[in-house]
Amino acid sequence: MNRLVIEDLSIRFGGVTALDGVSFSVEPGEIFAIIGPNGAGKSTIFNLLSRLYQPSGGRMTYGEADLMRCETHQIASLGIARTFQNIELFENATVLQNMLVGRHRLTQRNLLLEMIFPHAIRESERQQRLAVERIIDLLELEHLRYETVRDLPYGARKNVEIARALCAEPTLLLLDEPASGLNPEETDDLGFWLEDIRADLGVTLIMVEHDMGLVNRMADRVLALHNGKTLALGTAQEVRENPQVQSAYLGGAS
Amino acid sequence: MQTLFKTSYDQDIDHLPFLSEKWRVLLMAALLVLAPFVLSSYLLNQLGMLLVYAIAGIGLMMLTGFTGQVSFGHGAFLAIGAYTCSVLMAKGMSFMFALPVTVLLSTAVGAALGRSASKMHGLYLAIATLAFAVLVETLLGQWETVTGGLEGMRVPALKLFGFDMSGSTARYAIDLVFFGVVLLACANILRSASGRAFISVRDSELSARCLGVNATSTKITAFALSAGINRTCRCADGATPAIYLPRGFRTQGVVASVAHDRCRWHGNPARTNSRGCIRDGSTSGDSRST
Repeated sequence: MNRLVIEDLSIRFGGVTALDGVSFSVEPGEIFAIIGPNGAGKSTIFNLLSRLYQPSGGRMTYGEADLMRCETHQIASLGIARTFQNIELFENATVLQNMLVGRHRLTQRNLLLEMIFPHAIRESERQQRLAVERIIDLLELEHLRYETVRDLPYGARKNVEIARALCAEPTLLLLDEPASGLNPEETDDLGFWLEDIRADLGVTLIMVEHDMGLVNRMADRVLALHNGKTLALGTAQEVRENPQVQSAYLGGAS
Repeated sequence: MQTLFKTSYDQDIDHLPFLSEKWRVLLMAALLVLAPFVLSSYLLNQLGMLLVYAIAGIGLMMLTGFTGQVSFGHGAFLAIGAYTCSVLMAKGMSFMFALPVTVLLSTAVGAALGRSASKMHGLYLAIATLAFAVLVETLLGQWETVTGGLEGMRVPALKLFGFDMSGSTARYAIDLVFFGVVLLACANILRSASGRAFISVRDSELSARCLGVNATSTKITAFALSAGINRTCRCADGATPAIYLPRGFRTQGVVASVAHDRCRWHGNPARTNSRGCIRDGSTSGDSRST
């Protein structure tokens, strides 16, 4: 199991410093939450970890691997998977196809062989399908298998996106606002699933979340950001009671 | 509506899981095989051309339909394939060698174009591929020693294993075999990992990359594959039109792309006009070059 270490991470967009010297580390098996008002730089951390943005300074390592040396498509092979704030599913494909793309990094590909489709390819397709079925089982998505994503309601899409990320067999899962847009009942279910994901699959979780109920219930540690700077880092209760965090959320003297 | 009672994952991997679909396709295949015994040689030539354009359509479908990359350059791909094959055969190379050489060259050019194309999106990609088409057309028109220039070139008679294949039945047979092979190969790609990677790049490049799909190489592969298929189609076409003209291919490519658009945006009335415009544009281009 790998430890994620982020040191002194910064990024500027023109004159805006979106992230200013943020450091933290996430231990294997931990559920780590990142909170903060809009524009605090929460999703920016995820986009930096996915190598979608180029940081202007700092270091990111996952176990032995230096994330700064990776390109976006190489991040998955380190065992890091993610979801997006504005769901990024393959809209015109079925749930099953979406999840099979999740297996991409674990699938051998050879275009010429695929044209001929010999027994070996069929066997590999069966193996990928079995792996996908295990995740379908875990997240209770059986009834959605053959649905086109475009036809699914919002809540179901959220789950499918988590399922697709899990298909990549990650050791670290980045969840960008998993509970946004879900009703209280769906949020409750999500909480149980996240517990299952950690307990059954041994996945380390980092989530950006505004639902403080979910954060209090799930997170081992919480990082509070404001205007790209670290406000507080500690257990959910410590962070909640931090006066600076309270003033950032509720306004008042800063 | 039919319901399929699924008992095995293989049923999701197989082509045509429904029995009625199997029969329908088998019937169609039987009709295509029996056609030479029933149709006159004129109708057979027409049916052969239909199959050739179907192959071109499949090539464009893999690129635009499944990978989401617009291309107006497919007329140029067709032209390069047709001319390469014919020039090689005119130099005395047998069809069995000319075909793989042509497909390899085509795939390489497709990959080269795909490399630049992978950095462009939407409208810019359309313009760039159109520019490529014009470039190829000009090249074919000016390179008189090899292509015969604007006068066109006479296509050599097709020989296979020493047999003369220029008869209408023999040409039709070649077209049919190529069509079958290309159709099956593409259907196979679409049910395996590379095909899913194409779809993922089309629907959300962002999340495709985050799942480990190398978007750049996937686009290059799609361009190369599509170009390869299109040139295969032109080889299959072999001896059909007796003379190739450089400008013949541009309109074909553009019409193919527009036709594809029409399929995607079911009968938008404005389309009729836009097709007229494109046709006018190419006519004025032709008068300039003559």
